[in-house]
Amino acid sequence: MSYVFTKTEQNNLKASVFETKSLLYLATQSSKYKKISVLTIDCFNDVSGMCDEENLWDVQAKNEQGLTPRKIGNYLITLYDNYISEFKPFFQEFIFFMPHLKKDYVEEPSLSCYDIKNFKETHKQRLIEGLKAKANLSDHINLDDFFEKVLFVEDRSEEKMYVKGLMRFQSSKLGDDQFFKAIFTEIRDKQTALKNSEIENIRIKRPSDVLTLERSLTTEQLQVFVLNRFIGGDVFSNSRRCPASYVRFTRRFDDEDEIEDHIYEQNAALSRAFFDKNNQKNFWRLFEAIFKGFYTDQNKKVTDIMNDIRVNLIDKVEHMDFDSTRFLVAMVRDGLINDS
Amino acid sequence: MIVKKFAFGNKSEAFVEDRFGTGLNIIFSNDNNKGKTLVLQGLMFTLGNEPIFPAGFDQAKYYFFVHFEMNNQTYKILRKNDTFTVLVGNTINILETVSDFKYYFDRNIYKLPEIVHRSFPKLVDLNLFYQLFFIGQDKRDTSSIFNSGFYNKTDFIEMLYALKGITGVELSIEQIKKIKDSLTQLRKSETKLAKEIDRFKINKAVLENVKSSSNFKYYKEQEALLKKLNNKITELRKQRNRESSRLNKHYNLKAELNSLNRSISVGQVNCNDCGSTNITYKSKDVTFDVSNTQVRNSILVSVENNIQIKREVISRLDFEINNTQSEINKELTQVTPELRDIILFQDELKNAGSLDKELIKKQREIETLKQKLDDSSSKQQGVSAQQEQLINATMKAMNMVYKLIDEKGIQVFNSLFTKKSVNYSGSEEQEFYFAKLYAFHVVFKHEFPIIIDSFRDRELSTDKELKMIEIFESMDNQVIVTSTLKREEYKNEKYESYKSSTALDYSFHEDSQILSQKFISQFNTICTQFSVMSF
Repeated sequence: MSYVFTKTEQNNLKASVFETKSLLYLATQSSKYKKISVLTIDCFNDVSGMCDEENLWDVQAKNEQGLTPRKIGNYLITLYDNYISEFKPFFQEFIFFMPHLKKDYVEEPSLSCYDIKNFKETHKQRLIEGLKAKANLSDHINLDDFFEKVLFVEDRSEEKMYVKGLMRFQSSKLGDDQFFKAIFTEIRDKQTALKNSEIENIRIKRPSDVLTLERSLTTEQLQVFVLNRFIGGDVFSNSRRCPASYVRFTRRFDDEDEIEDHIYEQNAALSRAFFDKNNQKNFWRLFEAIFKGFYTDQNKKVTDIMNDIRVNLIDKVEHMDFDSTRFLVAMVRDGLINDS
Repeated sequence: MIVKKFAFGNKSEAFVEDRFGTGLNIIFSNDNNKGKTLVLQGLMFTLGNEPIFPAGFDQAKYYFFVHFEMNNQTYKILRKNDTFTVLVGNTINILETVSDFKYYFDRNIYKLPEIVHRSFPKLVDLNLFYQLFFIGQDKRDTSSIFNSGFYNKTDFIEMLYALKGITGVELSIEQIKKIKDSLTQLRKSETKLAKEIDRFKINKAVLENVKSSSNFKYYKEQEALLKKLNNKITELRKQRNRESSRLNKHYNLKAELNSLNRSISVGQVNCNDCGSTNITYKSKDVTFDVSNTQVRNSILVSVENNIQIKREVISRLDFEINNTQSEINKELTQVTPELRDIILFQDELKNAGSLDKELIKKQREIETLKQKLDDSSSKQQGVSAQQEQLINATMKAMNMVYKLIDEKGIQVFNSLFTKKSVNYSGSEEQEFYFAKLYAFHVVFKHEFPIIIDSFRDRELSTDKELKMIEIFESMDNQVIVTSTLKREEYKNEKYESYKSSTALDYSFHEDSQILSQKFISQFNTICTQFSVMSF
């Protein structure tokens, strides 16, 4: 006896992977989107980025094989609806996130990110026709101002490249595809989970009101999360090594054996923290404090960071003490890739 | 292994060589002091070799870089003093000692052979291993290996056996040496006794003095030796205890981690502030767990790895403790007859017969030890026959290629190293080294490049040189050799015109100034790959 599943929603997985990619596209630290601090999920559109001044970057993601310019035009409707909405002044850019297009649609196939001018003339017309048909617009309406703000982005990278873009960090896990896959999957699942609330027909007065709907992630959250995973993956994996920034704190020992035991203790404390499922909140707080310390200035010394961390923050994490926190700070400091 | 690029330097001067071809490469110049040796020694140094740089070059000031390919994998290595940074793909590995790098090399690049060295199993060090395919310009001595000292030529031959998987001796070299030593000792005391007997007949009083004083001295020596061995054992035991307690710590941690990994399901955890059961790091719906299965697994695997390493360390320490213990036992049993000597000489001096008895005893002891030596060499006949075959095959290849170069040559090589008294010189030395590297290449079919610094030095005739080049060209491996040209040869563009070989002309470097400023930006780019910023 056997049974074949034929009526499942097969597109869910593909679509959500694609939406996560578009989310990470906005969250990566490219200078253009550096201001984005909050990512809303399935509110204005599939994904939208918002900065502290309430400017919005809108993303429609469509993972459809064999996209034609006319179909693209059809799908631009969600972006266009936002363009003509009352929030129009807030929208900085409309991004259409799509798979790799056929080469003959565009003038310059090597670009992965372009505006409408890169479409060949005939295809450009079809694209505009597609949108006009969907939006019930008459033929002679001029959409130039809208398309000025539209950016087409082709997805050409693997999932792990998007994760790597989030955080520039040296880690022994950099070659480990499984590791990246797991991080990506976690982000994807969070994203999907956020959609499970009901917001249809809710009216908001300002873009920032969207935060009350609790359908958003902050880029900082994502960065702290990824950084934390990297550090976690590295705990104990090179146990005999001491982070370079930590060496000066081992000078008080005069015996190599004592140093080895000391390093072991710090690694053990960190692994306990990573394993303890019942005391997560405080570890996150501590970790966030470290991250924020380096976020303002990557060149900060370990002691500078330690001075800024409140003692009770450390005390609350059951498995960590002053030494192990300092060890963690040194690990973060040595891993962050210094751009300067 | 194909070397693609080599570079060295620092922020004020640098040199980059990226013209290496996959076949024969000849680095040449029309004068000395152009940096050829620096490049080859630097290349080997980057790969983990001992530094043998020309005088006046301070290697501690520079970074060394090599880029090579092996088994379709690209490796980039940056070395400064004893710190190695290895870049494979996007992964950076930092190894802080030469021996760490050796283990990395063994695990990730090429499996190194293991030999028994000083009665301890040991991965061969890279500087010994590289002698399989690298001949430097200095410190040549056909009767031994380069940099002999810690290793000797027996170790090199052991390594060759290990490469073919035919190691194995009943007695370790050390043990044989010991037996041989005690044999000589016994023989000496045998003659001494015989003499004593003679003298005894002449003057008892003198004999008494001489004997007792020499015994006292011996007794003191024994005492010191035993004390030393005992100290060693205590030290080793301490170390073993430390390591075992570390092992236990790892076990405990593993158990502890597994217990922490269970979320409490009995009762509910409430947030103090709001009473919510949803404990997150921010009072929002979105939260990530502190770690996922991937992270936890990688920690567990690493702990497991550490347990393995500790176990290995402990077993090695055990081995050493046992060895030292048996050494003590042996010394103790050796002491007994000597102590008996004292008694014998003190009490029965009047009786000449007792000396005779002692003599007979010594002779018996000599017999047993001799037997032991013979036994040990006959027991491993299976292996040693194979080992002999291997050496023979190598010799055959050496002689074959020697005949190719030197048709009229009268040398017949019959050993990998010459006797101490015999040292090849001039062209013969050159041919000997060449033939040896060639034979290793044929017999072991290794993938490493053949590297010879100044391959035609010392009076090698043009005919022979051309034949060597032809042989180099016919090899599958990459070959890198250096040579200083005479003016006439240089004018004739001797190497540029040679078939498919890559000729690298170093003549334009200023005297003793291979490092220059024009490579700095290129070198900078290299260092940036390793995230080395302030070099």
